[in-house]
Parts: sequence; C-alpha cells; structure tokens
Amino acid sequence: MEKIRIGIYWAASCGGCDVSLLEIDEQILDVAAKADFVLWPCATDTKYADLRAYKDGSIDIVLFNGAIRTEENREIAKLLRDKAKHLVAYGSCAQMGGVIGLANLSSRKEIFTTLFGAKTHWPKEESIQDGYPLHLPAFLDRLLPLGDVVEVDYVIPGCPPPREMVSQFFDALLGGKLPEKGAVFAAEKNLCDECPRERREERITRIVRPHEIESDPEICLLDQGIICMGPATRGGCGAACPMANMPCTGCAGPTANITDQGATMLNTIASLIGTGLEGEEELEAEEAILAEIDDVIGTFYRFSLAASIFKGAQRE
Amino acid sequence: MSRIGVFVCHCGMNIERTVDTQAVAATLSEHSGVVFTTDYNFLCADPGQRLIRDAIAEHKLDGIIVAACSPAMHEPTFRRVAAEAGLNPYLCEIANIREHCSWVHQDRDKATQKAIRIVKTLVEKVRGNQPLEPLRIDHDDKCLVIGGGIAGIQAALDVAESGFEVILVEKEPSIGGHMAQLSETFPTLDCSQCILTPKMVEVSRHPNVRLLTYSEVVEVTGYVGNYEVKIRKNPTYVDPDKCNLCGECVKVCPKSVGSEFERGLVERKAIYIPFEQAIPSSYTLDEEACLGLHPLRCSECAKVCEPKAIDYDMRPEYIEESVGAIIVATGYSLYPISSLTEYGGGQIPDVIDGLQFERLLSASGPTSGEVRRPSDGKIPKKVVFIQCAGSRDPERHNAYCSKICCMYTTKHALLYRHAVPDGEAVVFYIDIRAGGKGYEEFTQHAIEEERILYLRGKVSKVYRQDDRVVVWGVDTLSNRRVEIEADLVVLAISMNPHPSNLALSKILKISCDADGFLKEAHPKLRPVESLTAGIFLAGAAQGPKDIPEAVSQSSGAAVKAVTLLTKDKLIHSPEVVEIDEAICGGCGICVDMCPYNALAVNGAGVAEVNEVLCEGCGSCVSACPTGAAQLKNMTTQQFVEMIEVALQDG
Repeated sequence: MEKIRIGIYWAASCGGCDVSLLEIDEQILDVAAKADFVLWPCATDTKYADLRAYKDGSIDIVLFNGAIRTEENREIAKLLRDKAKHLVAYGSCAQMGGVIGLANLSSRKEIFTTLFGAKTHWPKEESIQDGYPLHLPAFLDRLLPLGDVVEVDYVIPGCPPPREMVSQFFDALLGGKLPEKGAVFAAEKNLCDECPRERREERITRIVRPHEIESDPEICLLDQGIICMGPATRGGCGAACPMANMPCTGCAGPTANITDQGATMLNTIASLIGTGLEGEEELEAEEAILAEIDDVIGTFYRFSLAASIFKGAQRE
Repeated sequence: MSRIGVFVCHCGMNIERTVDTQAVAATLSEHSGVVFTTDYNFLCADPGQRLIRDAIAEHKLDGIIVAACSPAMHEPTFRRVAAEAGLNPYLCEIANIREHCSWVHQDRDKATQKAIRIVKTLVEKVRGNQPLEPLRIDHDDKCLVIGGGIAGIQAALDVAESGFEVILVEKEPSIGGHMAQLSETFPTLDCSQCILTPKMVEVSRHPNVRLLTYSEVVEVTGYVGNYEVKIRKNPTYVDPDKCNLCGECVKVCPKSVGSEFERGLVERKAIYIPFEQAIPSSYTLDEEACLGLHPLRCSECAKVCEPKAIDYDMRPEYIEESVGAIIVATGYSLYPISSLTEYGGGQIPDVIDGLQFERLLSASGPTSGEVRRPSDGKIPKKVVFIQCAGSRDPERHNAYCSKICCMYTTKHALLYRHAVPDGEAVVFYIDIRAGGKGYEEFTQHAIEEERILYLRGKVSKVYRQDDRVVVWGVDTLSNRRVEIEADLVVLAISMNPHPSNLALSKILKISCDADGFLKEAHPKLRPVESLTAGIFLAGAAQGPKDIPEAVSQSSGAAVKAVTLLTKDKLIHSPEVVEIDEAICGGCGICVDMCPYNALAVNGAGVAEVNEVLCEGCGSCVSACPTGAAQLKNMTTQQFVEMIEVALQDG
C-alpha cells in the first residue's frame, strides 16, 4: 500500500505545535509505518525549491501551524494550498491568529519601534550583508489566520492541540476516514460539557484573578468570579485547565455557530453579572464589577483577536 | 425561499408624504428572490387585504413582506391575510417604514432610501423563516386577585359573577382598603363606607370567591393560563370560628400602638379589629406589637377569652392554588409625610395628611365626625389645605400629578365648612385639575357658594408658633406674600405606589415604571394588561386614580381575565427559542438569564425549553456562549444577513 504523504509547516509560530505532534505516544509508530513526511522544516531539511518541484496535489495532507505574519508565510501558505490535497489549520495561531494575534493591537510601526528603536535601525527588505544581497520577507500590516489567505479544509485547534485531538485526527487519517471538509477535530459542544465542576447558575457579583482567591475545586470558576472561557470554547481537551484549577483561556476557539469568540463571551459575562439592586444603583454596581476585569482583550481574545470581527486596532 | 412578494403601504399620507412608496416597490422588484411588488393606499383596508390574498395565489408567493406601520399594529392582520391565502402566517413579515422611517424623517429622498433598506432586511429575514404552527395549551379556570381594596373587590366580583372561581388575597386583616377610611366621596358626597360595605359583604359571601385576608402571595411560577401560586396566610392567633367578638381581650391587652386604620390619630391594642365593619369580622393579634406570644410573658387576652379562641401556637399557613389569570390591585400608599419637612410634616402634630383628615371627618372616626385637631382636641377655626404636597415637584419629591388631590381637597374644605360653619378654609393650589363628570361644577360650587378661599400659589414654609401653625405662601394672582396663622394644616399628599409593588413585580415577573407603579402593556391600547400574558392590572397599582376610574379599570381587567378563562385552549406564539442539542454543553448560563423560567438543564446535560413559558425575548440567545440557543425565525444567521443587506452600498 502506498504511504500517505504528510507535510508539516510552521509559519509565525512558537514551535509548540511541532512538539505536540509527538505527544501521541505509541501512535507515532503507526504514523511512521503508514506515512512519509515529505516536508517538516522542524525535523527534516527540505528546501523551498524541492517543495516547488512537487506536483500540485501531490501531498496528501499538510498540517500548517502558525499564523501569517510575513510575506513569506503568505507565499508558502498559497504554495502549500496548491501542493496539498487537504490543508489543515493546526493550532490556535493557524486557526485564529493565536496569542501572537494580539500583536494586531499595535501597528507595524509601533511593533518595529518597540523592537528596533528609531526607523533608521529597522531591518530593510533589501540590503547587502557581507557583500551579498539579502532579501527579508515583508512584515505584513496585520497578522492573519491561515483561513484569511487560503481555503482551509480542517482545523485541529488548541495551543498546542491536545493529545486527544491530534490522536483523533491521525486515527481518521490513517484509517482513511477523513470527515467532510470544514470539520474541526474537537468536540461540537462547549468545554462545560466535559468540565466536572458544578455550576450553581448564579449571577457573577465580583471578578477576581486566579491567584487572588483560594478557589473551590468542585465549583464552576465563573461562579467564583474567575473568568473562564470554557462556555465559549469547544471542548475536546477534557477541560484540562479547569481540572488543574486554572480557567480555560479559549485556545480551542468557539463552537460552530459563533463567529466572534471574545464578543460572545463578553456578552455572556455582561449578561451574567448582577447584584440584585435596582435601576441606576444596579448599573453602577455592574460597571464596578466589569471594571475589575484586568486586560479585557487578553482575557476574551487571547487566541482569537486576529479572527475577530474587528481584527485588531487600525492605526496606520 | 424564492418567490417573495413585497407590498408597500402609503398609509394615506402617513408614509407616502415622506417615502416614495413606488420607488420602494420598484427597487425591491430587482432584489433577489422578489417576484412581485406593489404599492397601495391602505393595505389594512379590505381591498388592500384582498390585493395581498390575490397576489399570493396568482404569483404563488412563498413569503411576503408588508411594508407599513409597526408590527405591533397590523402584524396579526396581515398574518391572518397570509393564512387565508394558504401561506403559513409566519412567512409574513412586517417592515416598519412608518414609525421607524416616515414619521421620524423629513427628507423624502433619504427616507425613501432608508425605507428600501428596511424592507430589504425583512426580505432577508423572511428568506430564513420556517413555517411554524402556533402552540395550543390548556389552562386553569380560576382567577387570583391580589388586593382587597375597591379595585380588587370589583374585579373579584366581576370575575366571580362570570362563573369563575376567584381567590381574593388581602394583606391586611380586613378587606376594604383605603376607600373604607374615607368619609365621603367627591363630587356626590356619598358616604364612602355606605357604598363600599355592600360590596365588601357581597364579595365575602359570593359562592365563587375564596377570601384570604392577612395573606400574601409569596411565590408565583408557571405561565399564562397555568400559574402556580403560593400564598402565605399569616397567623392571626385568633380562631375566627371560636371568637364570639365579645371584645374582652381588647380590654385587658396592656399594649397599645398607633391604629393603622385611624392613621395614627388614636391607638389600638395589640389584639384588635381594624374597624367595626371589617370583613372578616374577627380579631387579629399583631405579633409585632404583642408582648411576646407566650403564656409566660403576658397571656392576658388568653386568660379572659371564654371560647378559648386565642392560640399562640398558630403558624403561617401556606396555600397553593393553580390559577389561569391574575389581577393585581395592590392600590397605593401615601408619600411619607415626614419627607415634607418644609411643611413640618411629621414634626408639627397639627400638620396632617388627607387620609387623617378623612378620619376626622368620618362619622365612624375617632372624633365621630367632629373636626378636632390632633394636638389638643380643639375645633380648628382656620384650616389651610396645601395641594400638590409631594406631587409635581421633580426637584424634591414626586414629579407626577397625583390626580385626585384637587378634588378631595375641595371635598375636604367643603366638608370642613359644613362641620364648622364659622370656620375659615384656605386652599393653596398650583392648578385645579377638575377633569371628570361633575368635578368642575363641584369645585366651582365650593369656591363660589361655600366661601372657601382659593389662593393660587405654593406654600414655602410651615412652622409652629405657640399653639398655631403659620403658613407662608404666595398668592401669585395678586402677587402678594401671604402669611396665615392656622389652627390646622391638611396636606394633599402625593399618592405613592404601594410599597409591595416592587417585590410583587419580581414575584409576578411584571414591570414597574420609574415611579414604582405597575407598568401597563400599552399606555393607550392595553391599559389593564401587564406585559406578562395572563396578568392584569387594576386600580391605583397602575397609577394615581380616583374611585370611578379604579372601578372601571377593574371591570376592564376582569373582562380580560374572563376572556382568557373562557377560551378552550390558549394560543402561544411559536416564535420561541430552540436549543441545538449537538452544540449545547449544558453550562446553564441561559437558565439564569430567562426571566420566564422557561429553561432548565435536563438529565442529558442539555438546556431544554418549556416552549409555552418562552416569550421569545432572546435574553438567553445573547447570553448563550455557544450559539446553541436560537430564536425560531430570528436566528443569528438571519440577523447577520439582515445586517449585511442593511449596510450594503447603494
């Protein structure tokens, strides 16, 4: 039987996604037996020239991790789209821009000024280094999720994707049972479905950060005033963070019907807070509770800012 | 949906003056999926309705938009028309181009462009609509009336006379409410008790009325036609079946407190009967005033009670009832006199409120109808009546007009002049609002024939000087400062909402307005209905009212309740929320959001909707973090498409 040709690529990424592939334990032996890695910059040496030489559609599946931050990322994404039969957005960055999508709060100019100082110190796209011309790929005005550049067939969400989801994907791939296009390798329901904590269906009367209280491990974190993104996040990880006494941060992205994870959860929190007072007093009390949220964007849009309706700040 | 019809109404000139309806129809005819458009003068008129019916049949329309007035007006009309033509009524939508467009704009071109966008959004909505069938539900056929004042009594009698059982709940030990405290009523000067007590007797004896006094509604669950009500009957500590009304207990009771019925003018004992004609005619031991409800503490009353009617171990009794409709008639309270410090309210004993004056005038009152002032019992020879005390004063007190004070002040002054023929009556007023049958004549008669001095102006200060009360005011008609040394000052104090309104509105899930009165569903067209189906409003609970208004509103509320109870089945809108079970993770956030208790997380860990409870408000939809909760025919997807077309260029 012919081996499955797998490509793995990292764009703007921290490398965690590549490592997460190894978390599938002994299943890796199955993968090795049934598949060849025709591209994996993290582990093998493949030149872009080799990649360009592949026939269109000749790679069975490409797992693409990282977001689109540079012209190079964009170019390779398009190239891989042509070469791959199936393209998978692997991890939060490819899916929604991820943590690094928070860079969209700053303009390109602000980022460069912070990194390099005065404009004269900024790296140039074309320069001569040691007598040789050096071309650096252009830094895009805004970081983009993979889906904004090319059509994506599947999503394996997570930061990084947890073992369960990666394993589920390889089972489908190796068993020749890939689902219909558009499938997300995570639960259809939200995280609360998997979370063993008990929700008391109470209003939120205060908001705290995890280190500020000794939380009850049996009770829903939201009930205790800790903002947990679980309600607005797909399950599939087994509620790993809440099980470890930390709130879900939303890395698996929203459920199918939701376009903007952060706005949805903000709506939910805004609906949930309440002190039982009346009229103006209640409005003031609710505003005071909301003011306790530290870092609104970082809390509600930690992984999804680049994929949100407003996509980030527009300053340039 | 691919065969959509658009009908644009001129509404006479209401829409046509500002919106080019022909242009709207012409533009929409090019919109995708729209196969028929027309404009017409009055679509709600019979020929207009026929036009819609014919077009549905002729063009095989599978969805229609009527661009006209607010859906609150004619949505039922046009949905019925659609149904008559064989189209599912929920595939008919109303585009509001009158209230939302023509009435609020002047620029015809811009208004026309806006109307086009409004209609396009509704085309997108109807495209995503599903045919729906209304829900048909059974109902209970009893009616709960909360409040046993004249409004509650009238409503209870009307419902009971229609053949339905009524549970009448009154918080106080007796029914009768404020009307029982009044001396005589304007403008006819009938004795208030004389006209009230026959109704009190009738309601207490009516075979269809179950009277629960000294009782409060503590919990209401369920929905229109199917309310489950929990009533707490507070212990009176006196068994009315054993009590023979000998009154020995009152003689020996060592504890006295101010009588509520007499507005504190005299005291009553801890064991008491509010007034002679009280119904039920039975004693009540006020547990707060009593020395201790314990034989070791006092037990004087129990010792002298021959029929052994007193039982210190009596406990609150909880009564559960299923009712189909609820009428709320909680009445009013008075603005606290102590808040009127500028008039010496609560500090000067001879500054009293209108209801106290009623008791002084009443033949059954503490002075047997002789007007004697509280401080020293002397007959006041000069009485100043101050209108709008606490009303029409947005800076310091209530902004609203209490409506009845002009008339009862006239009555007070007139009755005072009759009781003390050599007494002088002075009335300070801002305006005299005497709109009502015979009211203006009554006031004019008082001014012209009864030698009552009406001074137009506000009183700035009232203070005590020796045994007199000095009133500083201004007569704005002669532009003079006025200083009057009076023996008694009567404040026509603002009517306040009943203090129980707020708690009760939460129990019943109905709204209060900004002043605390219960809010009607529509100020003109649905004045006796609350926004919660099956709950109706009567009397001053909804706003200041005089007796004839309260009585007629009560009859109106009774008819609404009876109309509901008479129906075989109740129809409930199918435009309710539904849960996508594949997505819902059972977080339960929607459950707390629902103001109607329509949602619960079921055994399978998924939110479940009780459709008949759901009013389609969408609170759960906006709170649902997964998008699993969606309103039928108003899904997020439909919203997005509507927004997109609304914001489209051109």
